[in-house]
Amino acid sequence: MSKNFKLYISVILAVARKDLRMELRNKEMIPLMLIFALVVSLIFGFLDLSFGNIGERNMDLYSGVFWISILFASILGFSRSAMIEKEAGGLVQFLSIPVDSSAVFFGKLIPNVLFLFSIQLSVYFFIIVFFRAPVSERYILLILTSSISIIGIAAVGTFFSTLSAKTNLREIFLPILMFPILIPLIIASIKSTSLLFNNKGWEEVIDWVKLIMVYDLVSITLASILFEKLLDE
Amino acid sequence: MLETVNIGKRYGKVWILKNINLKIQRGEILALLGGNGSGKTSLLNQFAKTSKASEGEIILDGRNTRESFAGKIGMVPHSSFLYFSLSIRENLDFYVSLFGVNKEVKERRINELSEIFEFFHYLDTPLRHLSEGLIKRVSIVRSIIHDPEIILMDEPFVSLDRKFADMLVSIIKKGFSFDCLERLPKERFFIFSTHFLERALEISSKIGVLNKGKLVALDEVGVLENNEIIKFVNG
Repeated sequence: MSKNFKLYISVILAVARKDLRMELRNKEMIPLMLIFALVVSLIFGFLDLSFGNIGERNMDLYSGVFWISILFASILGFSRSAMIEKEAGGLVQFLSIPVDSSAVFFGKLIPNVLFLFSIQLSVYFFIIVFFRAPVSERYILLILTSSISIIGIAAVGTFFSTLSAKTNLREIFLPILMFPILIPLIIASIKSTSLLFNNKGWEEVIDWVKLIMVYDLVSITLASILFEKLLDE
Repeated sequence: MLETVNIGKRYGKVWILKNINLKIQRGEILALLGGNGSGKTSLLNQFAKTSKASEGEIILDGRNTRESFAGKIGMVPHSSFLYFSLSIRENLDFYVSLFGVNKEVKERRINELSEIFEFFHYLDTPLRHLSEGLIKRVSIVRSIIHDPEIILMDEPFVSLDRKFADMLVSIIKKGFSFDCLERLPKERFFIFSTHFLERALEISSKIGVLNKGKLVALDEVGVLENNEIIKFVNG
């Protein structure tokens, strides 16, 4: 392993460790995201009831509620993650490190993926409790599929939260920038989870999963290449 | 040699730096003097490569690429670049990890420098519980702990009490020569901004005076008369 590659990996790990340590100490981001996801799930639960769907299991609704909760909660998390750096004086400090700035992007991406992963587990739990969704072994497949989507959401979110942190209206800019870019990923994610909720076979889901994986690959590549442009003042 | 060639920086139509040309040799100490808004911080940010020049370039040993500066800069900025929920040790450990310093050397530097700058007993205290002066000392240590070639300090004496300001003067005069750092004083460039004329005269070998974004004077200490400097600073 070359010295540069070793340093690149150690920068990724240092940035990720720092963000995780700060979250574990402050306990700000995850509780906030959880509460928000819970509130969104509840609203949709009541909405479903208000349409008279008492006792009926609307499998497609679970999928929609799941992704809307994840998406809205992620906005809070990404916004806070970018603000940590802003409060410390900005990401410009990383411009002088002796490795490519994409290492900082990956270092920030890892905790964001982990935060979203923990939120997704909680949202699945909410859906089982509030929507009386059936519990089955398919949840492993569901978690696996949605985890792949979460990587793409985190990549786009990490990039655009860094960009929007430079503005005074970051809470407004972040969803405006992020949501349109995420549309293909969200459609594919809703489709794949909906099929799994409806107990469809893996062969029907796999094409959507492939699409999600391609999206992840493209978004991670582009975001890591363009990230250095965001570090400048 | 570190030099700026026609460096200019503008925001919109307003030029905050214009046609800055200066050269500094290794081992030299350059003080940037000037009133508020004269462009001292902006020029330091140019040296730190944290701000892109609108025109001109900064050259280190004949090269102006990101690689030629990478890992060689240490800066005490206006904002601390420190994380207030982390302890001093965690902050320093994190920063030095970005430069590939191995664990043993890292721990030695953190311990030795924290003893010298008298915050060893606060190493595991989160920054949010510490005073402004102590945070400034941590920020100074952070700027040198990876043993950089170019040390830049923006108003390093602000927030420091007399004792630590005098200590910093003595450290600067010795060229940041510590047992735990390998680079020799003659191998470093040191540039700092200040509005304390006495401190600038005491430490630096060269003085640059900025006024309204222009370098109005640049010469060795002793060549520029004190009242002449004051006149330049006041425009």
